[in-house]
Amino acid sequence: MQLNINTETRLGDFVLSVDESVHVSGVMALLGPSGSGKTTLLRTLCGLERRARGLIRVDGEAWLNTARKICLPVHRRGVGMMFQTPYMFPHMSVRGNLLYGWRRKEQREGPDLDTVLDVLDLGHLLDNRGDQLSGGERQRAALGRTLLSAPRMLLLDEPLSAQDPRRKSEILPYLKRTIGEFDLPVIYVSHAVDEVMTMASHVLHIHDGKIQAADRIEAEHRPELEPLLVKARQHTKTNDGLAKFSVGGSEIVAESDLEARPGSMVLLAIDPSNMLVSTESEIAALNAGSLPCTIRAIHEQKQAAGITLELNGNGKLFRFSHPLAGRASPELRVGQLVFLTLARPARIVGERSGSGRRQSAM
Amino acid sequence: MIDFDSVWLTLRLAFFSTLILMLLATPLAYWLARTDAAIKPLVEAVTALPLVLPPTVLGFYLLILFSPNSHIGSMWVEATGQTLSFSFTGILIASVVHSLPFAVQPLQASLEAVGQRPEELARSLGARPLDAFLSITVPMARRGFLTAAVLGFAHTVGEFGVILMVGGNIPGRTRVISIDIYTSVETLDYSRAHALSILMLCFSFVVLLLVFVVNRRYPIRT
Repeated sequence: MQLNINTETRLGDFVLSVDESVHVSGVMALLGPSGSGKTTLLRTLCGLERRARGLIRVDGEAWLNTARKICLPVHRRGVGMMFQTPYMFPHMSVRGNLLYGWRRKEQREGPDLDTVLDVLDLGHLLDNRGDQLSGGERQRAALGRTLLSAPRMLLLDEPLSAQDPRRKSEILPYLKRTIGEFDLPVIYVSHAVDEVMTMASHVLHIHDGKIQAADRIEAEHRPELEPLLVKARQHTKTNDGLAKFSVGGSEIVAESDLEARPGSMVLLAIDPSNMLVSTESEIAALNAGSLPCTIRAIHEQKQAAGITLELNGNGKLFRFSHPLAGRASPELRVGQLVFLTLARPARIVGERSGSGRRQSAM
Repeated sequence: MIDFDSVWLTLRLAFFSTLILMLLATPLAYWLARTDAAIKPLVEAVTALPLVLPPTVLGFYLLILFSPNSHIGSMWVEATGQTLSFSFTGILIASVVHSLPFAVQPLQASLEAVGQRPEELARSLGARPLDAFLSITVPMARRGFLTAAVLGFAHTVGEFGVILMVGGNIPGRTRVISIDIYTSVETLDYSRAHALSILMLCFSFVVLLLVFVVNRRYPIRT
């Protein structure tokens, strides 16, 4: 699907300004911190943002042309939108929800009802009321409802960010199956790099209302790097499977299924694909915490581009060679203070630094 | 023997004014619930005016507006051959204006509570805007619609001052129950006043009871 976007959307002080032509096949990831305009871009694409001005062409068809007063209404764009928190129409059964778009899809050929029920494992939920489902079931049902409306494209707006880690791992397989099974162009919005790296073939980086960079990720280049291992002291109680830990003087959040108590030392693994380097503390928006580091070297070789960071207060050197390294802020210097931001909580891989590294499988 | 002319007239007036009210108040409340236009507070204030104005003031201005000497009044006389003042149409319009806030406010509150997301979702699933409104927003805001209709109806039934100002006291045409009771008392016909008053009391009680029972049966779900 060929997407030509040249739009400007003003929302008060915030301006989203996009000029991109991309060919979307498979999954295109849209990455950026909170407030960078990801959701506004999706709303502009599907026609919900009335203040969008400019041009949008999809496979040659004009969806928006402000100069010619063309604005294809939302219901005729065939864009399946999934919101951050899954929403079921509360006055309908799950069946009613699933068939809402199905009954209105006009001539478009869409996925078959039985296939969707099967892939998303929804058959036994049909007679429940929409608001009686658990978070994970609701997410699956919302995905099914979107698929059954026979969309030409799927827009997923951080479909996992409102879920706790356990539920994430429950939904992710369904999401991957769906994307594999129905062969739709997908734009996947996230601020968690690792969520999309395993699926995406393209990445658009958005920052402060502008597209900063577009990357193509070849399957063989998808990173499989060693995780960064750091010692940390737990200092809050486990809550929803998460707890806060201090590393040096900073605080980060990690998944904690262990019965670790405040005060205990653990070994945390941080996946490189889970990290973003940023120069300011815009990280406050992300809730998994951040680690101050100093840049010790910048590697510019094509094959092994990356940077070497020293974890402040720890002395540990770490080669950050993710292909996306430094994309968010291209003006990095040696000696500069930067922040390693975790896009999602770290993992505990061992208890007590002295008792050896009981590293779990990735 | 009591004649029931005023009762039928009141029911007819309340029925038609509720019908018109809902047709006017729904788009107005929808706009108020969704817009962030600068003139929103102005429109809200104007809509709420009948709540605070003495009915005589509202009635006085409507009477002036409806009189054959005014633009609207004379246009109406030309078009229909009848005057707006002292007619059923006149008190119908006056009732609608006077009861508007009672319909708009519960509607606006319930449409705001539902929010625009369900409707946006419905449209992204292929529903036309009106379809999305009727199939998603209306059933979700049904409590607001019910409250608006019941309050609009009941408020029209209980109206006195505005109707007296605009419609006068013409039996069979503008003498509604409340004015009938007033006239009965004035002419010392206490038995008629008693009969009509107890009717109004029972009616009002039953209507309110109905609203509260229904509200209990259909809690707001979002």
